[in-house]
Amino acid sequence: MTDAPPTINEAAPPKDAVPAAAFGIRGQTQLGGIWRRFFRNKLAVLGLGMVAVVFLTAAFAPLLAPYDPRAQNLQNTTAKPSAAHWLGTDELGRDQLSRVIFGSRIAIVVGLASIVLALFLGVILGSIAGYRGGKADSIVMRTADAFFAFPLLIGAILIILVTGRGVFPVILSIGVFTWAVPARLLRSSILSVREAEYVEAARSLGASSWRIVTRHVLPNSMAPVLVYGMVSVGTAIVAETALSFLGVGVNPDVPDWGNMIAAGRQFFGFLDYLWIYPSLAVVFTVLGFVFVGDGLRDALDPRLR
Amino acid sequence: MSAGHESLVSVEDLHVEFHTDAGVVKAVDGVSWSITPGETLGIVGESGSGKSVSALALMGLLQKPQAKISGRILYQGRDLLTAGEDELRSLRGNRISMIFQDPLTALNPVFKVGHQVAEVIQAHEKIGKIPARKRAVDLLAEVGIPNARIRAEEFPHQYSGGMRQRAMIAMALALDPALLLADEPTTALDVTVQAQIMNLLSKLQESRGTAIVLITHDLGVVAGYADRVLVMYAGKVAETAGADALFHAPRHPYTLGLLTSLARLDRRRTERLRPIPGQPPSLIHRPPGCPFHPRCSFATEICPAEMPPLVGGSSHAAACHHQDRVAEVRSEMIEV
Amino acid sequence: MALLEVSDLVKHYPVTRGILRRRQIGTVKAVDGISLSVDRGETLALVGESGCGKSTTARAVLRLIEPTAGSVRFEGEELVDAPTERLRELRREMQIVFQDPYASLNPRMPVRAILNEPFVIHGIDPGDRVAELLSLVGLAPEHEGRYPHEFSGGQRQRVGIARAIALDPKLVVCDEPVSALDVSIQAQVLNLLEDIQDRLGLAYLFIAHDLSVVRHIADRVCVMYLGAIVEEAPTDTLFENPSHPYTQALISAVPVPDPRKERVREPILLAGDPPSPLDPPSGCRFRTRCPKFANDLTEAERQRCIDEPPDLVDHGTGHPAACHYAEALTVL
Repeated sequence: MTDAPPTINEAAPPKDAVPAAAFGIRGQTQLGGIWRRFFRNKLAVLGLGMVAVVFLTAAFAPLLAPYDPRAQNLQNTTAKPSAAHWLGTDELGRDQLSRVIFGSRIAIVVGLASIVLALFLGVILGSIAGYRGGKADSIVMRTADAFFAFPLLIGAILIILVTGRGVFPVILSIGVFTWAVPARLLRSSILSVREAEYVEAARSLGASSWRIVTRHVLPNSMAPVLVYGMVSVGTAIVAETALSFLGVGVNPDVPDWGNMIAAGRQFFGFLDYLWIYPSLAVVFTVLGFVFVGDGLRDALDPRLR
Repeated sequence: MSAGHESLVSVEDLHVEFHTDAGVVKAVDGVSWSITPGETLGIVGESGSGKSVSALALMGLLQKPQAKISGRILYQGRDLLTAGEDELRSLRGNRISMIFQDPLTALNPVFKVGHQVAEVIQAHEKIGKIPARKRAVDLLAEVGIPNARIRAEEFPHQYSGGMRQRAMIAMALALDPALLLADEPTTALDVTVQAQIMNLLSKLQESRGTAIVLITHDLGVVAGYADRVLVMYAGKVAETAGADALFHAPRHPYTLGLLTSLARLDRRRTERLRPIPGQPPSLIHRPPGCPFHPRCSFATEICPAEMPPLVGGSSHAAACHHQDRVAEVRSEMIEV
Repeated sequence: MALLEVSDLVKHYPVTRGILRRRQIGTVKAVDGISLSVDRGETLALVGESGCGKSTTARAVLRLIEPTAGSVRFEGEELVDAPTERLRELRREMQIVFQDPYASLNPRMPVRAILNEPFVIHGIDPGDRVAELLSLVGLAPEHEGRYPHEFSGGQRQRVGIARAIALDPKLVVCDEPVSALDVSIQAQVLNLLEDIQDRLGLAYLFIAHDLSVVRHIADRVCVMYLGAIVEEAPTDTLFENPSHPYTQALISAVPVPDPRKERVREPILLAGDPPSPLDPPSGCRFRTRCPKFANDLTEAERQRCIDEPPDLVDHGTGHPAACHYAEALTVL
């Protein structure tokens, strides 16, 4: 029996008892495992592809679009789809295809920016609520409840009535009425991480609260928030489309799917190509984000399926 | 290891594999054992040894697509691994029962305890609710729950850890099974409660003649309560022997290593403990040949090359190429 | 002067009801007046079953939990009311090793960062210390870039130990450091703890419920029950001549890996379950389960147990035991 200081077994990855997966329980999540699970999920990969298509379209819009989306041609209004105009022209003679392509820019920009804003607000407020607890927690959570209860569109409209239309007001209003969800998610996450032994270990070393929150608590609580973020980009895009459709979104001359659907509304029933294509674009984009979000959630924690 | 037709349950060449993301986990790799009526068989091993998995396989509790099982598990001539779900269900709780480490998860939190015990009885016997309830109360009293009639109307969260374990024992023994599988029944309990529970199990065993398979990592518990012991390592049987022989004349280096590495309650302090070096192996990447060889001080070139067969009589066998050397050396290390 | 001197330490948790205006309806007396001391280089074990308050005591001593009352002096300096800055400096001298190797390391930090952290927090340049620490605890320095999940339980515990000794503390509180480990690994880690103690001259406050481990590693032992210490003695004395009925029951209940011995041993079985710390019994808190109380005492003697809490002093057996009728007994 040797008494030499024990050394680690070089070849052995951590021992695996009965893999918890056999009983349908969540196993350890590690980056490799997460990727693998994500890419095995066909829907998630499809979603990733769809999102990539929309991104690329937005990025290369000027190259892809055959015409200037704002170029009007009053000689050729509401023309049916043809070789010259694949998706036809609208009531001001503008090429639909180009407008759909450029519309993706607004969708992506507003979708992402509003969610980033929502996450920013949500993470800060959720951290305060989760980590400090007590009064701060109550105040933040009751405020969040108020925002929760308020319907997104109505709230957004109210803000826009004050600020006026435009891309920034839309981003602001969607963000302001969405922060409550990630705040609540983060707070729950933090409540459990806060009690973890490694947090206690950091305290025992003398770490300051700031260090504990930024280096220990947040990195381990962010996962559900990120998943939520990904999924809700889709919701944000729908919201933006709805706002534009209602006439309180981006400015009317901007090529935007919501604007296009609104314009096409009057031709509902006989010139359907005016609203169908932007609608399909919205559906395509949103589905892409939803698939990716679901795939991400499943990959991070199969138990949540 | 069976004495032929005398054995109650006989496990023959059991293999259990799990196919996971990371690879194939051979949780149980060719394990055979048997148990005779009324005896207590201790199955000892650390995490990853496969001890719990074999019991779960016996009860048919492993989820089929992920777990690949082969071999035979004979109960009264029937191979349980080929039995249908209905047949297994009629056996579970009735002829073969199981108790688990964590009674909190084994008891349903939304039903009263008395109700759950009665439910087990009613699942197998055609008796009405009232007589079943009465028997449940009697059982709870028998396992040492004070004021059983009142306590039967309470919920699991109102019971202490020891009491929940007793309730689980009551459920398991309600129908007088021939075999009780106890998977780490006292690991989560305080030592004084553990003594109470093991004492209870012994007494119940005496009065009902139940055979018990006691699965644990605690060598002390095994020494105190098992008639025969099976030592498992990395999914295989390392050694099997009567309790006295195992503790006082072990033949496998792992068994010897375990015994000599333990801190002893009944001895004055020694300078240093004598640990087994290294780590238990990963079940996905098992060392070739004998799985224990990387940590074994008796290992020679044959050990990684060839898996040693289980050699010895039916009463004491070990899977080691160097059993004799172990026998020579051990008297210096333990009280033989 | 002792390195650590704890006097009448108390930790009570209020139990409240109500959402808006919280009324206190009871108190959980987790630690109810503990006094102990630890000298340089010695190992004092604190043992007891779940709910006895040993973990709470360990954390209160380090002020990871704020004590309700009492005094904790480290090298003569009072900790309980020490200002935050001073407390942080003192944390370099008193560290803790946690029980659960799977929960005590941040899963998102590589080992290198985990071991660097103590230095970063206190503004010290680590230099080569991380590699040194890893070697000291028997791990390969090349693995510093790995994440906790890439190590086994025993290895993670070694990382935890390395973290605790990084700043050269004088006292390390070990909270059940081997309970979560496999039996074949426990001996490795215990040897490591002892080696480090010898090398660095550390004092250990060792919290455990496994009496075999305690017998091996401790110099002195305090037995706790329901928030109080019921017996205190040097290790061999405690195990060979326990005086308090609880200690006797505890030791007799632990099975030893020897079938011949086990056959002749009869564990002293305690009645019922431990009482709730919300409502400890009057007088001697052990009397509701005490075999002596139930079987050996006269009516008058029992009354004394009900009325008068016994002091932790020598009642004639050579070492302090909180029992009016303490009597040494051999249970091994």
